[in-house]
Amino acid sequence: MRCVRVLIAAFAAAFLAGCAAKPVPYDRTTSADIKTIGIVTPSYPEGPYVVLASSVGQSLGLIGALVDAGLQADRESRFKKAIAPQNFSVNDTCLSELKARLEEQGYTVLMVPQTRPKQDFLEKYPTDQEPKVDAYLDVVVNYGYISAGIGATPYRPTVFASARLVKASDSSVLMKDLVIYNPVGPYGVNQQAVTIPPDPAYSFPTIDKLVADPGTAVKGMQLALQESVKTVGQLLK
Amino acid sequence: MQSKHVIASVVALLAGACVTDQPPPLLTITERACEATPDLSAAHPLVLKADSPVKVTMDFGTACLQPAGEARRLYAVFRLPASSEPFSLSVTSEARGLGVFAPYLLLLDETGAQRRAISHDRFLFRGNTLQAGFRPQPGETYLLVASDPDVVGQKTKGIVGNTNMAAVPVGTGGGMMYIYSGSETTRSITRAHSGIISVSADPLPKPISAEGKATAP
Repeated sequence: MRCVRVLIAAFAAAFLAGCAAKPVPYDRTTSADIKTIGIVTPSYPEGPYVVLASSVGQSLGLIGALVDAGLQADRESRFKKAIAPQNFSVNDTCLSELKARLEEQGYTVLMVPQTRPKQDFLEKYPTDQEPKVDAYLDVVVNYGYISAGIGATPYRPTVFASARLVKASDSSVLMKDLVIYNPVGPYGVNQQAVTIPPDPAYSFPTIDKLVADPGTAVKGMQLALQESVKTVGQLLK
Repeated sequence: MQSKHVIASVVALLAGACVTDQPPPLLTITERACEATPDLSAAHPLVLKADSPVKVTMDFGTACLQPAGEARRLYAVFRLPASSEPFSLSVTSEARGLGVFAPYLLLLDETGAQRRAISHDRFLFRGNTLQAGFRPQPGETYLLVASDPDVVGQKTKGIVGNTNMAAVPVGTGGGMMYIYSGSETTRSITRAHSGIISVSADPLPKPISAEGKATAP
């Protein structure tokens, strides 16, 4: 399990690096034919991340990295166990907010169930979708809690939401962007991602405090996810 | 340990100098004499090429516009590239010190008549910059970027997490050890008439291929 976690972290880092490409803006004026959007089942990780963005382990080479991966796995295991009774569903949180925002803007929204071989955009979109849609909205979500690291910085909710709108008729990319809630480190000055500062009401000074208050912790994650997908909706305004 | 404190102090001093060297945000231009219509002859030409933005510094000396019955605003005009292929335009307002130019956009035709407007609320923060993107329509020849007097003076505050690295000498052989730590700051930025505008015209990505891969332009 530790090796898997190290691989997942490495994959996430590589994926995020790739997603920091220049955004493709959407212009509703030139896409007036897009009236019905099919939201394909978003991509999510196995569970929320609980990340310490800087640590002693980073100074200690491979051994430090392995120790850090083990500590992260432990934090995430504790957090997952603590929030289990809260019946939190990342899919319900994201889809209900996204559907509401798009319908508010006059789109007709359909859900398009899809399975994914990996945590990334789909390589192909359905060609036999019924009822028909004008475009597919594909969203890849990573979420959880992050602390900037050693230096008395609390854990705050964080979300990375990559989004892509693809025209159903010709697979042209109408919009592609990345939204980061609570950007830490280089993501705070990254001009390629839309950034949302965290709500100061949700902060936990230590991992022990985070797992001791699962109700508030889940509320913080829900707010972060809602604000992030709401911003995805704004990109299609 | 003493070396680490010296390095940290030097870094802090340099960071502080970078912020304080910048002029304060320009919030009032009431004393400026302004034109009623924009000067299209001063338009900056855009090139349709990825990563080739045109940057303009907006400050007290920048051209000023005051349409009849409206408030003053600073502005710059850009001429869109002529192209038979569709492309996207991206307008970025970069922070300058503690302020950021508060843009809104007008698309004009060849005669300077307004074709459409893109309001300030279309601009979203990306780090400490404001950015909006869109796709030009046929007949749109000029892009006018102007400061929005309705939002100048508004402040946006937010917590930003940082990761820091300090290099500490180890031993006597010139070795270094890197110490990583985290910190938080509260970033406050004021929308202003001044700042730096960057406009780029980019080709659109190709459609996702038959193999299912998105291809770059």
